[in-house]
Amino acid sequence: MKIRKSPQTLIVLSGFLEDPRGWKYGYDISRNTGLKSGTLYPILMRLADHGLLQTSWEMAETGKPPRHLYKLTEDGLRYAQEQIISQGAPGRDLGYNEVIA
Amino acid sequence: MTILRRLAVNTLRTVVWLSSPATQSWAKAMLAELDSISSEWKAFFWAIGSVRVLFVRQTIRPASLSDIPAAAKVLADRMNQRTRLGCVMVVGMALFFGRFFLHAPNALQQTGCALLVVAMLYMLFQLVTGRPKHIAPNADLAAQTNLYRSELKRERDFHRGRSFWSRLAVVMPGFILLCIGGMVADPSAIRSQTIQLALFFFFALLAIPNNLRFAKRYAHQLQELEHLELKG
Repeated sequence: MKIRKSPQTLIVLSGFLEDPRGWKYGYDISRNTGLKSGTLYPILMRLADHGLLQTSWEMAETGKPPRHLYKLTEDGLRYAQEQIISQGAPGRDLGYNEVIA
Repeated sequence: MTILRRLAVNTLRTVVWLSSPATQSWAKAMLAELDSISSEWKAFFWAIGSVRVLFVRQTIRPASLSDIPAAAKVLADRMNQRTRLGCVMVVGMALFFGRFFLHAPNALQQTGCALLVVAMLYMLFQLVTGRPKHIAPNADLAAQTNLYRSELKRERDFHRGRSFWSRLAVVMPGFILLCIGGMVADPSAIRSQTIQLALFFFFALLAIPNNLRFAKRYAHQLQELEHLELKG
């Protein structure tokens, strides 16, 4: 499947690569990448539709609504690494083999 | 709760309400984040951004036949979203013009309002009949491909030909009569009515290339589908 590779998508992908195994909250991604919600969520939706992003609802704590969590899938990690390397986008090169090992 | 926070919560709740089933979980996710945003202004702008989720035109361009179920699902969701938003807008406008009809100062404006209500109902009819068809998720690839093709054709035709031009034509007379009626009722408002009329024509003209561009995009996707089927 083809996915649009905008500079903002690359920023989001490189943000995920900083902690490739960890689940992230939407607002935290927005803060770390500097992207507004109106830009960030369409990107997350697109990544999820292409099977590159895993989503999950966290367990509800008493008195707090559950939040949505995001993590790259194995395909997503591979894709992110390829894109970051090929585009020379900002972000650390973690070494794909290390990431998916 | 401050006014800004209340506005943010209500905006997000409205977005959740207006969202199609597939988009709804994303809108709910954005709503759930609000409690973690301490700044009132940031919470407000976060909620404003959520409105964009309603207008996201998600597209999956299948690169192989196996991608078609996912592409069909995304297309159907987008069509559902458009139907939902469109229905809310045209019903809202029909109610607005219907109410204005009761207070219109002259027959010209009353006729304009009546025509606009009819136009909105016609648009509602087009939206409702243009809803995507349901298909079982476990349907075979041939059925999913057929559905995808028919939905692409339906979308292409929604943005061009009789369907599009009739939508445009049906709104014109009502709005023109409404503005002329406004000028007759209050000659001092001729300037503002002329500006309204000019703006209406500007947006109507803008709708033409926009819709034709969408139609072209869907026609191109239909061609891509044909190529995939030939290859597959």
